[in-house]
Amino acid sequence: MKKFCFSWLFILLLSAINVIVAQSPTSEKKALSNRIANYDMWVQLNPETKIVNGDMVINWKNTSPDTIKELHFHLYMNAFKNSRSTFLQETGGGMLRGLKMDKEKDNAWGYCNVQSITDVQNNELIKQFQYFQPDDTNSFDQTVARLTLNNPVLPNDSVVLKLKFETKMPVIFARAGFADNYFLVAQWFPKLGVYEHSGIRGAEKGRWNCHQYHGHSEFYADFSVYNVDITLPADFVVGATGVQTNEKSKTDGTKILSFRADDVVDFAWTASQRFKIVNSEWNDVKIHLLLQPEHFSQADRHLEALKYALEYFNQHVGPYPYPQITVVDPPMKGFGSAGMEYPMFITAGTLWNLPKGLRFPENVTIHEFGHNYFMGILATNEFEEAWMDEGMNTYFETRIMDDYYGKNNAWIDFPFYQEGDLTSKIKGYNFSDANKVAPSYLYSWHYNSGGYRNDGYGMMSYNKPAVFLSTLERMLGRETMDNIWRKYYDEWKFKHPSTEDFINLVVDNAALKYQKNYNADIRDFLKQSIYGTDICDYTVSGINNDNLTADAGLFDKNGKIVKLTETEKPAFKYLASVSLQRLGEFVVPVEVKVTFANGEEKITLWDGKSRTHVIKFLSDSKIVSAYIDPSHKNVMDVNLLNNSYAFKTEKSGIYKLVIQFLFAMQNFFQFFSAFI
Amino acid sequence: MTIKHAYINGFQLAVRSPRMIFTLYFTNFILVAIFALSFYSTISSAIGNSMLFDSFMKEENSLFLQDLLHNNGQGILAIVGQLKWALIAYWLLNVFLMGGIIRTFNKQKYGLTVFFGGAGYNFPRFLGLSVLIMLSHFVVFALAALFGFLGYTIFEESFQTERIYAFLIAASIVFYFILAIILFLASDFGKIYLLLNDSQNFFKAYFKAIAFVFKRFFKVYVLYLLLLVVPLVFFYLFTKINGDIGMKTIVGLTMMFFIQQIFIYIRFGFRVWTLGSLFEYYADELLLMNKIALEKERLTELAERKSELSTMINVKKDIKPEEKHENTGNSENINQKSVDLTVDDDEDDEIKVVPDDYDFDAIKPDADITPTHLNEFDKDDIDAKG
Repeated sequence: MKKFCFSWLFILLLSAINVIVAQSPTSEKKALSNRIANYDMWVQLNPETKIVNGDMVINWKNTSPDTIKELHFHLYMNAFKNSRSTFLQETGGGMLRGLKMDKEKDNAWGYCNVQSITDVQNNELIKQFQYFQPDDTNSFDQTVARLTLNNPVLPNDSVVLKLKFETKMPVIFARAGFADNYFLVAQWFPKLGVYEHSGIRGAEKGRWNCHQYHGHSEFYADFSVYNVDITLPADFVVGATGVQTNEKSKTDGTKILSFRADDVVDFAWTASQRFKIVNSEWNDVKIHLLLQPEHFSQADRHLEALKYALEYFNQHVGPYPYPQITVVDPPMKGFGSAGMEYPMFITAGTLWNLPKGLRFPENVTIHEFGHNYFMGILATNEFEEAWMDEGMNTYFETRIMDDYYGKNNAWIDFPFYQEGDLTSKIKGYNFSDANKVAPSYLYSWHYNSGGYRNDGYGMMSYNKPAVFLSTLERMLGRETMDNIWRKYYDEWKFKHPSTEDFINLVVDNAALKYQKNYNADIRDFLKQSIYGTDICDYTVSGINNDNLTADAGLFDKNGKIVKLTETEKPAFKYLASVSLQRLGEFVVPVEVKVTFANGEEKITLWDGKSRTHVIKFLSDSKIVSAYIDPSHKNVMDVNLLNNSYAFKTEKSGIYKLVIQFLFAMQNFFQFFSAFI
Repeated sequence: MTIKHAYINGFQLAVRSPRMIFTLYFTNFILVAIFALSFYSTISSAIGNSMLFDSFMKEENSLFLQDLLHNNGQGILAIVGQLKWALIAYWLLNVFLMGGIIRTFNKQKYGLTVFFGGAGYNFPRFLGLSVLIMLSHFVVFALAALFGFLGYTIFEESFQTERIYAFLIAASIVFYFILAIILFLASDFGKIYLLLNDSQNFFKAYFKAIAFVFKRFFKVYVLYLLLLVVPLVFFYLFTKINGDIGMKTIVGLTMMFFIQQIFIYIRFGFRVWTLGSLFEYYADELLLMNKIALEKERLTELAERKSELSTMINVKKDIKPEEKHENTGNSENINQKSVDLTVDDDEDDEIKVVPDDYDFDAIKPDADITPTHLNEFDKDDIDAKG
């Protein structure tokens, strides 16, 4: 017991020094965030049992005006504890992103067990640590727990706790776990939720925001400083959030690696004996690629994409504030951990000899890196407002991909088929049968399929926001949009912005321009897009060119009655008109281009509010065509074919399609005839 | 015949058969064009007065295509649904045309009567053989899939990378194609067999052809692989041309249309070349076997005469039965020798491309009982040998 007390004091001292150093204005790097929850951890990985044993000292600051009597913790590995957890239930018994949990496998299940909690007075608090379910009534779910404190934490005061925990990593099928001797250790330690005091994200009074682990979301945390010592066999290569500060070999064949990460919302790490390391850098940012040997030839594909993403975000959003970024390439058996995002640490994903025309590794690298901004630095609540995390990030992913690789071939680039990245997102939303199933603003676990093939989470959190933000960008112009992003970054970096915060920021910075250009309220556009389920569809329903005749009859003219006849020449030959319709419920101003027979073009604006609208012209020339949104600014329109009408259309595109069809079929028929 | 000669002779046959190749091309074009017109009509109607595809020639935007499919996919899907029937019809048509091609090779002249007469005459038996071949492809495909699946089951736990799976898929595909080439060869040889022997027994033809391939496995396999080389090079060149010219202008579109059609025409040329080479090879083997059969017949006759003479001499000299038996043994030796000379007695027994009782004089002029040119060549050859 005495020994324990000494060690506890020693740890506490170390922890205090770390916290002081981290928060001291004289520390070598100025704190970028409020560093509310800080963690010092000493953990050991046993590759045989797949268990991580750890000691941890938490220092939590109460930055709220409230007195805090309890702390809320995430214990996310308990999502993999049994088939009754909320996560397993939501994922249909363990099926996510097309991968299924192999429950029969040895060591398949996972857990996070807190063995002891002591405060600075050395009181054991474990009996005051209780699981509860803030999101549902599933009493089997143990992914959230609350600790009742002996001594409440006063405003501007701190609490220091020591925890002993054991985390068993599950077999990988979703996000984290192990596959053979590959480990992706994420959501692995008892982690504090966020205490939102009045005013934060619309909170009327202080509240803990600490959701259960769900099928669709997992991120929301305060900014922290992490000091983590990892002990594991010496032949393992490790990558982690943060920068490695020390490495010490031990005589028992293990080593201790020390990592430090400042101003981050999470800490994840990976270990494998098979990683091949590629080091590079962009400006002052160090880049570590941890690749599977069989993917080593694709190092340049990852690096090129990552460096471009770094440059792009720095240019269009704000500086990348961390000194390092680590990209992990998971093995095929651990593919469930591919495409994941943690601060300074992301997982990509590729396959051996993946054709260059299929830009999956590039896409996933850019996307996951972007999460360092959307969720990492601009620390939104993924559980409640996933669109601000995945959606904004997907919008930037499409921009980066299409700008760098080509807007028509960024995602798929084969001789016989090309597809841009934004196009793939438009397809996913505009052309889905379920595009009205839910709004983008919805708690992630509230999405229901409603009988459709999927529950709409992906479509509404990824695709739709990318589509409506692209529309907004095209309507405002990229410069204005970039200005919005830079302001969003400057104002909300290392904070917790909400949807309303973003809307207000956009209104402040672009409402005037939107009003001037479209005579409409930008807030309407945003509210419909984010909170609504309406779809957008405008159509040109007809063109009329009525011959005008001169006025006929008796008219008063200068006090005299003058008789006019139809044989007189009219002022204009035609009353030309274009009839428009709004088929969808979504209302957005649209430009209409009208072309006359004499080649004259006129662009008019329709506010798009009424169901039908007629644009009339007095002209000597007939209207030959009308085009709603000719420059394709509104990429939300679900039917592009009906956006235009022309008496005479260009057929060459159709001929091209027919010739391609003919040739493909001729070849196919000929191929088939070989089997006779 | 060496594979080099078969390769060259097949090429010469193809070069000499432009009208036949055109017939193949034309049937393909007409059948597909019917659907292309239907496709044109459907998408013209779907696009209607929309200007969405006005710039499609210059900028191929897959979003527009997706929009077209999403909003008017039913019509296009209906066409795709009909294609399966057309595919079956085309398959039958090709079975029909094969009879014409092989008969034309045999007659060494192309004429509508020869071609379509042969096509009609051979259709039923070729159809039976083609069905067998098709079923064999299914079996081979299933075997390849099973091979892959077994590999997956065995290696799933022991390998860490997906490379093994890629190898397994590749190995399954290669496995399928290795066996499929045997079926492609057997398919062509089987048809040639049916025609040259005027046999209706397509089951027998199927097994004879398979046996024929296996007995000359290396030669015919290499020949077939060689026949694949030029089309592959040609295909590569086509993709280069396609990329260079593109379809971004009306001129480019027109040029590409004609280049594509030339490509299709040449692909049929490759098919005729392949069939010609195999025909030449098979026919030459047949000729050899004819010679062997005749030689064997002659030697047997000689042996019988000798035996008769010996018998007569023995009778005259009143030789004992034991000595007669000895002579019989000599006679068998002669027979055996003759068999040895023919190299492959088994082949004669098993293949029976030309049966022992083959009657060259009983050939019907209009039936494909024997290859006409072979027959003539045969006689000359035999006469020359005296």
